[in-house]
Amino acid sequence: MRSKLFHKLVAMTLCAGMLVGMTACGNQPTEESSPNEAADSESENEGNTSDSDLSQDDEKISFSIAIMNGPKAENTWSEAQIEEIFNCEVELIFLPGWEDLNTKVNLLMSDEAQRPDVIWWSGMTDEYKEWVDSGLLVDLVPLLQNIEDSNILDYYDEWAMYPTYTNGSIYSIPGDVAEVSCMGTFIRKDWLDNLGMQEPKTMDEYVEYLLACVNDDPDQNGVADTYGFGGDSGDWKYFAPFLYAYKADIQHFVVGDDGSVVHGSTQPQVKEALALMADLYRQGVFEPSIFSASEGETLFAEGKVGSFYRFLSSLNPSQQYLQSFYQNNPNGKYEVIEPIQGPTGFSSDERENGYGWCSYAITDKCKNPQRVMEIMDGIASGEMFILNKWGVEGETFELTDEGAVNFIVDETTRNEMGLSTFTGFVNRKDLFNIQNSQEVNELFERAAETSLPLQDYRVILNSNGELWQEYSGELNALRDQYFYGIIMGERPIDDFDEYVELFYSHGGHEVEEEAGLMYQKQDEGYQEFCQLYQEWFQK
Amino acid sequence: MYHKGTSKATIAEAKQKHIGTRLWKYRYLYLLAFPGMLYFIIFRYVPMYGVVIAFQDFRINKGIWGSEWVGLAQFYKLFQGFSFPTVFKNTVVISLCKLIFGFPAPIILALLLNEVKNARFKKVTQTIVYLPHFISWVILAGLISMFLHPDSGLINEIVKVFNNGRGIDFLVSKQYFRGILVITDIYKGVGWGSIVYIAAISAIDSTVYEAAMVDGANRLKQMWYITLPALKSTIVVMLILNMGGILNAGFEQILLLYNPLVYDVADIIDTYVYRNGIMSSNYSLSTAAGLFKSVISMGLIIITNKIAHMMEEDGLW
Amino acid sequence: MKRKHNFYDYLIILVLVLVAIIMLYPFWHEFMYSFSDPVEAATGGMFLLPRGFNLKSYWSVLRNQSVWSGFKVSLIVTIIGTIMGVLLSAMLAYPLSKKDMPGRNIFVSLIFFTMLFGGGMIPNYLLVKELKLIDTYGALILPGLLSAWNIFIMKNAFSGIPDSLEESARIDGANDLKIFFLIILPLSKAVLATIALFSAVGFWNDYFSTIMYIISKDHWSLQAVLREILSNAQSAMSSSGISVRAEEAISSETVKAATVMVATVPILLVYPFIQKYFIKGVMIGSVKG
Repeated sequence: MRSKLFHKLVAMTLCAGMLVGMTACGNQPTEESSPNEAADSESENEGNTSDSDLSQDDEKISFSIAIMNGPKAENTWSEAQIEEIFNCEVELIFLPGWEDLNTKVNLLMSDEAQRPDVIWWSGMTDEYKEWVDSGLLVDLVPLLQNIEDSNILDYYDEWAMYPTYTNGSIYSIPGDVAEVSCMGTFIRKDWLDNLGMQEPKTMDEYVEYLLACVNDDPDQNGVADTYGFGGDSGDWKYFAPFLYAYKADIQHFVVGDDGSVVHGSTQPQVKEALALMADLYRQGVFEPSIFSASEGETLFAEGKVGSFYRFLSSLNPSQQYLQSFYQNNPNGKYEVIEPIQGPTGFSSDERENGYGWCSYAITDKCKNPQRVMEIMDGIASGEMFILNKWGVEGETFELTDEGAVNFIVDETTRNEMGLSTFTGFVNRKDLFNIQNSQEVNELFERAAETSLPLQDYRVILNSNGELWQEYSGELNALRDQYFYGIIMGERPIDDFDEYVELFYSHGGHEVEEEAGLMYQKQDEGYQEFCQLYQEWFQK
Repeated sequence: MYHKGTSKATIAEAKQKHIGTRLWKYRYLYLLAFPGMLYFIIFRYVPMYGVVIAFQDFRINKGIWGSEWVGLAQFYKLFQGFSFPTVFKNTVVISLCKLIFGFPAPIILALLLNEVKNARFKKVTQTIVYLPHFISWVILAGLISMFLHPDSGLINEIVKVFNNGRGIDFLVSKQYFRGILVITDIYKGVGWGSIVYIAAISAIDSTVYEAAMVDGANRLKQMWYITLPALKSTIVVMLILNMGGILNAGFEQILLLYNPLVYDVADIIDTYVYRNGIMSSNYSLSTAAGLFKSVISMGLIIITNKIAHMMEEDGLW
Repeated sequence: MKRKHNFYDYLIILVLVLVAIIMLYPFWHEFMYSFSDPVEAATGGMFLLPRGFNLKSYWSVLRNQSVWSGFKVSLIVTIIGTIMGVLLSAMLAYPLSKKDMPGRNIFVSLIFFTMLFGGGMIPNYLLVKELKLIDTYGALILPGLLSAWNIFIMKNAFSGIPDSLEESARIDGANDLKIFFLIILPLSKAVLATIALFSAVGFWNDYFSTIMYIISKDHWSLQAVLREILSNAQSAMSSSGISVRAEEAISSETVKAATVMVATVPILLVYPFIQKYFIKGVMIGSVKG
């Protein structure tokens, strides 16, 4: 039963070197996967406790841990696995849904009686700094130094760890770092064939395809019920094929022509992209609900839309929406093409920043931080990750011929078992991520390459500036109002200039200046961190 | 009857003298009221000191007494945002629309129900119209966007017939969005809101109607000359209370339905504060906004109550 | 008196039937959706009848331990909270209905003021914390126990009871306590039932107290559990610009619908029985004080 998984892992280990350290720190050599045995003995004894703790390894400890992911059920199989394997008693403190998450985390942290031993959060960079300043979090460097063969240090590179660096040390661990690029331009292969067209490469070809999707009955059912492009509202990245082809990155700071840091939404090429989209809107290319609803998955399942910009994992055979799609369109086939080339030849896929979108930390309430750190590190191992997320091969899941996970127990049973409960503390994207089919894995690899142009253009900051925090709410609202208005023909295209003016007269200069300074300092800070990191962990 | 002239002075005297005995006389009533009043003091008045948060840069870790005092900075932040004028206008306009169209709706419903003679039908209808009150906005918003879906929504299936096969995306249309807010608000609240009026109508002595019928008044006249006047004081009380809520334009409803395309017409104080404050745990800003709203509400209630008195109505107090 | 139905009667009935259908439809839709097959339902376009009838969603909801535990918590909180709330409200409202009681106006103003002004989320939280109520049923019950609005409705209802009844009891030697418990309360069943329903609905639908004050999962109220299940992962995802969350399993729409039904049905079952009291109960407008 285990053999299939094992073979897969062995086969994939060969290319592990390629996957690991994709975003590694500038001039660092790719990290060695060999364990650092010396780390433990050579570490200066940061506290006497850690030594005595190590000797108490066998003693059963109990600790509380804030949980956001998974079915949020108590006394589950998953919990029991952790307790048995690590000889501990875990008290799960479930955090409420996203809307109320920050409030709850704040309250938990503010009250000593309630503070869990391990806290989890997403965003909240300001709060994180405050917690560190007021001594609520435990310095993790000495704890990590005491761990032989740390899974955490092995899995994350310096770049991913950098945002956790505060006041000269590390106080948190990333909970989940996305693939460097995880989205792509989806088209309908079967429609292309029906229309007698080639895979679109340039914007002109893409537009031609989109228009054909609307006008030439691509599904040949004799009814004009199809659209060119669909997606979700609320985030501009769903419009990536149009924006990025013009090098228009309207949600981030970018490096301007003169090398200074400017906001991407003010750049002249944005106007071109908007003009194109307005034109396409006029011709009925966009599926109407793209502006008001978040039904991308439903549209994907219905199969009445010619193109999407979506998550690559949508193509995993285990996806319910893909299954629905095949049910509705037995001959249908989605394909992910390379990013569309704009008029200047620029093309790029969406790129993630390589930072964790959530983090966890050990609080001052924890009586035995060393042991807890060891347990958290154990949870981060590949085998534990598979056990936590999918269970046991042959019992809860099997691997398909394509090499992807296929659950053999239903959703309710999985929830009862508590699968995915601990994925907020590690969600590996390397060879242990067995849910992707071969096809999807290849797409991820390709996207890592095709998203590089954006990485060079975009300014990635490891935290939000104060001014940005103050102004961004209004500036983003302003951008959305103007840009959607232009696309939907409610405003003339020249209103873009008005937007740029308003942007700068309402804090635009200030936030750009701040971002520029942060960007400079960040580079220095990063070098400093890499050096410290070397010293701490001798990588 | 007493001799009015002489008794006045003695009563005043007695009042002074026997205040103790008067209190003693009502001792059991005070005893009854005690737990409730204690509750209000502890759970409503003690937390009121919390408005000081509005004058701080409140940080939950530092607590109220440890946070930094910033004076009126939070209010400046609230008022100086360049979209604040729009936001304020939207709040008032949406509220007024809801008041103008939404306020009469339950009255009309109550009047209609009053005209139904079949008791069974009346009861079933009442039961049904109260239902939407129990559905949360989360669920309703989901249903609304489904019904208004520009392509597959039921409403648009009808619109398409008259609009050359093209649906309208109501939820991103500045033209329609406020209308949708008003209609869905009425939808949710009309039945529940009608309860007070139904109650008031049922308190009308039926002999009055009988007398009117003998006088030959038709049903419209009965409604106009008997039912509505009997509802007048209820309407006034409800109106005053509604005026107090004029800056509450419906936070949850709007938050769940709006999108950047309609910010121009739909962004209200609460959603504005939510986007700019609460999402980043800025409790001070939201408290400042709440304080601002409370002050305006209080002013409005007092003014409306005055007007009610001037119109010879009893008002709230 | 009986009149025969004329055109207006039919018109009114027609209008009301239409209104009733519109009001009922969302429930019907949600109800039918909950019986649909998750995969088929995902393609949308369901209007009247379920697509691919099955009970999977209910099975999955009823097997969910959190739903049961939430149900229990909400039931306990609602019952205790309603009884306590109604009793305390009545005890407070009765003295306030006595116009000549010294200090009455001060009491009324104090209570009225709370309708306009409140301390807000954080001070309320600190209070509950100081009272050592965090993570207890008390935190779910006490903060929402009494409302000024309910007290005024009751006060007005009590004012409507003829004084003569009390006077005769007083002549028989009954004190105010006796009068309240033995005469006033039994006479006010309608308003008590109405307030009971108001407050029960309030307790049953409350999720925010759980978010604020509760830590252990076995004290989560049903609405909090429900919200968790309904929580729109998608919207949270786009607001923070994070793409990975798309992978996280979110409950299928049909499971959400079934959860909504499970949470709504208890109220729907109870309230038609109380409904007959509404009419008599809400006497706010008829008597003012």
